[in-house]
Amino acid sequence: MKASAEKQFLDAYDQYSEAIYRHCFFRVYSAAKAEDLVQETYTKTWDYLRQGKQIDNIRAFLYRVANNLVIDNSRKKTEESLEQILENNPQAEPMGDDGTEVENRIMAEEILKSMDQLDDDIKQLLIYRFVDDLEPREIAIILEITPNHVSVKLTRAVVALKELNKD
Amino acid sequence: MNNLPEHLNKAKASVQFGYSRKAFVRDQLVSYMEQHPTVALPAKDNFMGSLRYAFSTFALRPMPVVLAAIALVIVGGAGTALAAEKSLPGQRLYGWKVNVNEPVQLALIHDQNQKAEFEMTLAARSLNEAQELARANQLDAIAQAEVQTNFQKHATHIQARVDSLEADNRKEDAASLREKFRSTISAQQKHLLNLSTNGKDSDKDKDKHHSDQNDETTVNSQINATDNAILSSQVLLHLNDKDNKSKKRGDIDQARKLLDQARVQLKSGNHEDAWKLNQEAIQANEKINQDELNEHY
Repeated sequence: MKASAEKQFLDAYDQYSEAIYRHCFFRVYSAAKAEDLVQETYTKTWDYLRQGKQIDNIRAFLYRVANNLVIDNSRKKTEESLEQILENNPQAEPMGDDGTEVENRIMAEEILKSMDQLDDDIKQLLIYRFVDDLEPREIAIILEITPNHVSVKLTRAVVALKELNKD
Repeated sequence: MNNLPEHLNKAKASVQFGYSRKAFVRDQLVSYMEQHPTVALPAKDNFMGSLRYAFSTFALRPMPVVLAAIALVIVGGAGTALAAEKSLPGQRLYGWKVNVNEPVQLALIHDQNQKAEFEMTLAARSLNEAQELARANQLDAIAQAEVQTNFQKHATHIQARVDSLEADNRKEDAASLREKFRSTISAQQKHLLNLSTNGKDSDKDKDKHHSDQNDETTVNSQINATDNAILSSQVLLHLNDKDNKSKKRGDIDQARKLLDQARVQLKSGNHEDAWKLNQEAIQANEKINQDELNEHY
């Protein structure tokens, strides 16, 4: 039996919202903002669908919408540094449920600070690959470029991040 | 930081959406979908095609749901419906109560304001059920998730009604509904905070609470009661100040983070530390409520 449309869309929420949330968190460093972005990503996707438009790859589409919203969000907040965000927003600290929380939090903050020095498109690529665990061919669909181009850019992105951490 | 994938892997493991937050956003999404249906025509047989095909039924969704619920009541029998009314979160018939009984009761009310007021009663009943379970030290994770999901569902519907009244420029009606909801939830919240502080719901029992600090089940119930109090603060905050929610939600996040730390301590067997962190979360929540009162009332 074919699942209802509502169920299919909510299944897409159940399946991908965690990953979209994590992606947004690593882009904006705030749990509250990441949650807002997840909600907006799904409502905008729903608005798109209800106009009768087609989406071939719902996962890629959701990432694309989330990315656009993150960019809009960062434009509004250009005056706020990462240091300020981490300091002013306690929830920006990732939370764990065991004794490794502090270690992971420090590590996450170090990574976030390093990545924040990179151009946004390089940072975005690193998050797709190493936070979202997307393969180059999947990233290629989201960014609408070739998988080969993604691989080349990824290699450069990793080199750039390593360069930053040499000091 | 030579091994970037491994480092990022560890860091990302510490970032989680969280069950209750995910359920809350899902509920809001469902509500949004119900309010923004589509009547697009059927199309090709792919993901979007089948979505579009069924969209036309979304516009009619309330009626099939009501009919299905009424049919369930008839098939299941009035006995089940009555028995379900007495069930509490976490119990077998609770799903029937919130997914069958409540929609049927709501469907029988046609006036939108009366419907919103009945939703208030149902939202308050959810919190009241949480209190009943907390008093019996039975407010576990599953019951808690059911309480919060049901409460949030009704709160979202009430919020939608307030928004709708404001959109129609009926400011006084919107303010009146908002105030009724605030006073209903505030009354429940006081009981919840008593429970989360003492594990008891009356002053005469307050002196007994210290002996309960080392009991894991009691502290867990208290933490969950605080969680519900914070959730109701969040709903009230959203009701009063949608535009400025991000800043104030930082305070809510902070209170919730204290609770998460309390849960970690509880899991590690440090019951007293967990109890203390719960008290800090209560104080943080009280400050949010006080600020809110000063600002709006």
